[in-house]
Amino acid sequence: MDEVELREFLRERYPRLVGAVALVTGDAASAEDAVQEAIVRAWERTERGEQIAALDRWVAAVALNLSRSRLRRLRVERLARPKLVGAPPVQPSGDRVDIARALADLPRRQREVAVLRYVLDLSTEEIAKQMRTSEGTVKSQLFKARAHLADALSLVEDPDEENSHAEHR
Amino acid sequence: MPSIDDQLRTRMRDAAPKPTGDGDMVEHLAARKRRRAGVRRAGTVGLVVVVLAGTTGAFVALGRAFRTEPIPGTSPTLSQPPPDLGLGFPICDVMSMPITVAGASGNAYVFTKATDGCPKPGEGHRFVGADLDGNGTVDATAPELTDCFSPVGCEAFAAPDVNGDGTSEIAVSTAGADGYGVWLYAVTTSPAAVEPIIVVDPQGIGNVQTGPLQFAWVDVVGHSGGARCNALPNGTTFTIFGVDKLDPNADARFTDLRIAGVTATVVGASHDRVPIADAPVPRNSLCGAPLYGSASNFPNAAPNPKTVDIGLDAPLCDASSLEADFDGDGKQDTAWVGTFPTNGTCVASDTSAAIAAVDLDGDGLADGSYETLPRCLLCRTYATTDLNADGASELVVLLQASATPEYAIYGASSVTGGDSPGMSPMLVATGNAENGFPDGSQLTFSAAGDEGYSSAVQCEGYPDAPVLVLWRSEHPVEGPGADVTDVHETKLQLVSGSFAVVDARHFTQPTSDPLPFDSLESSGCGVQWFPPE
Repeated sequence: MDEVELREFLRERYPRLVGAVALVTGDAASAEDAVQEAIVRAWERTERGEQIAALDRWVAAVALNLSRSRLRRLRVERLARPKLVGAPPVQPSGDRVDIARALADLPRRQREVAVLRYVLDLSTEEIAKQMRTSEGTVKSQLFKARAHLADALSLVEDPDEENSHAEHR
Repeated sequence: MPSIDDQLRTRMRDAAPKPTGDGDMVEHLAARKRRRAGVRRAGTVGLVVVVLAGTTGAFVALGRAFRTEPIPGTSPTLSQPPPDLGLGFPICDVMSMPITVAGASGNAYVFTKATDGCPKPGEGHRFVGADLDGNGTVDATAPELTDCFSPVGCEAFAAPDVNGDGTSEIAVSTAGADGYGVWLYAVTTSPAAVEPIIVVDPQGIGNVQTGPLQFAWVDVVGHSGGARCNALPNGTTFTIFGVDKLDPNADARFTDLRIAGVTATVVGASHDRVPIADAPVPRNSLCGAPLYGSASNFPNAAPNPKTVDIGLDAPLCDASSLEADFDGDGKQDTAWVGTFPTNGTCVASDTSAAIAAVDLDGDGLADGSYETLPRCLLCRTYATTDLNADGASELVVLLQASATPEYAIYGASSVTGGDSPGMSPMLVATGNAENGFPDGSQLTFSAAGDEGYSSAVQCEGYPDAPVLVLWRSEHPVEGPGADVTDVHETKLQLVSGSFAVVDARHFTQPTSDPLPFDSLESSGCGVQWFPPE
């Protein structure tokens, strides 16, 4: 990965990856840190001559793995270091709060499926591959997540709309 | 009207938090990459965990009225910023620590330049400076700090006098995923200056990189790194160490530096294989100076360690104790955990022999003891519980006070016939090696976990027929196998002084699947295993 590729990746994919991981973990700062860490690890790998076929998916997978560990670590940090001087957190917008709450109510697995699909635009096959599960399971999880999110966010659909059920690609 | 899928796509993308980092991200990532490489050089890579010991006050024994007497850690000195410390520009997120400059008192500051508010830790322009005469104004600053990683950022770490010249050096840390990176700065008075200390290696003998002096401060599952001072007849040397803890031995590299002014000259280096229990680990002081900031909770070596004289060869340092009926005679007994002093004083010795001792007759003196607890890192008496339902309590010792606390079980035996009373570790019974518990080894186990692995402790049948249930899962964070998690569940029962595996199962599952245990909430058998309380 040369600097041009890295800059392009940061410009084109980085914001959405951070947003996706943040929606899963509920913590933007740690998501940013996890994605950066994943990118650095990818960078190191390419310098060692390894090939990463789909960098955005690789970074997403590693960042989500890292975030699982980070949740635990942050829990410990909160116990050990209750005060951290810094700027007050930015208050999220109303819709962001609604989305965050709706996602937070989902089991993590459904949350990941929904975010990988709707934010990162992964296909069912790609999600199944990333989560090491079957496409049928992904569809099932996506169906449940979609139903919950639609209900929680009061989404309505035009009855004439052809896409009256969850997308399955 | 768009479909629900399209609505979700739009709203979730709009609601997804945006990165807040500013500046050149490539440069930021490159710095992060350099730091990872630097930390690896110091011997810290692998399955790692930030050793963030809970505040020592947090380690309070559970149950009944038993409670340790925690030694207070060094509190972070976080202060509201004074106007500008004479710098001429607004500052924020100020940390200070006292320093000594040629015998006089001053202060070191780590601060951020405020620009339209205070940047988040790890962002913005952060500096280290020194007030040499204690008059409240900064007399000198070093070039801007780099590699200050979020979410903690760069902090004042310690102000030791590493070369015994009567003037403090200033250590600044950055907290990363697997510990701290520490830089050392020299303070000079004429002219006033704070400058990075530069490593030179004219003989090419060091296990350390030349350039700005930096070292890791970390103690993780497989590695540790730190630094210490050695007072020698011909002057003090500053030794950086990095240890790969490869069972059964540790691979330890040491580099001795002679520091004069802003130059650290490599004067010696060694590479040894030592038992893991004897390998150096960093504590919460650097050359006798307390650690500040988030690192102040780093385990062990409180500045004024408590000692108790319980009739052993020497008073016990850093002692903790719990009371319970350890021999089942209906009377309260006392158990201690602590370390022996080195050359008569309690020091943060890397080779301190930690011991567990017990007083069974109530005279305040130890009747039996067991020396050298394994992998002791802020060892403490943690809890008491009856794990074999025999009416006598076992002692739970916290071996590693960290993000992944590690425990061992000790039991007392009273005087029977010609036997002396003792305090013995509970071992693994023979025939359990296939489950990962070598015959006769001391049972140790952990809770929580970190990158790539998780663990939990549960209990069944307590209090009538307790069975300890140990969970562990592991998977590579990246690379081949990262999408599959190995899960191990082992059930152990304490019978006749040793734990026997009564049931075990191992299976794999997709890493994205929820684990069958909660590593963040471990409790059972009367003990809160995680989080430590």
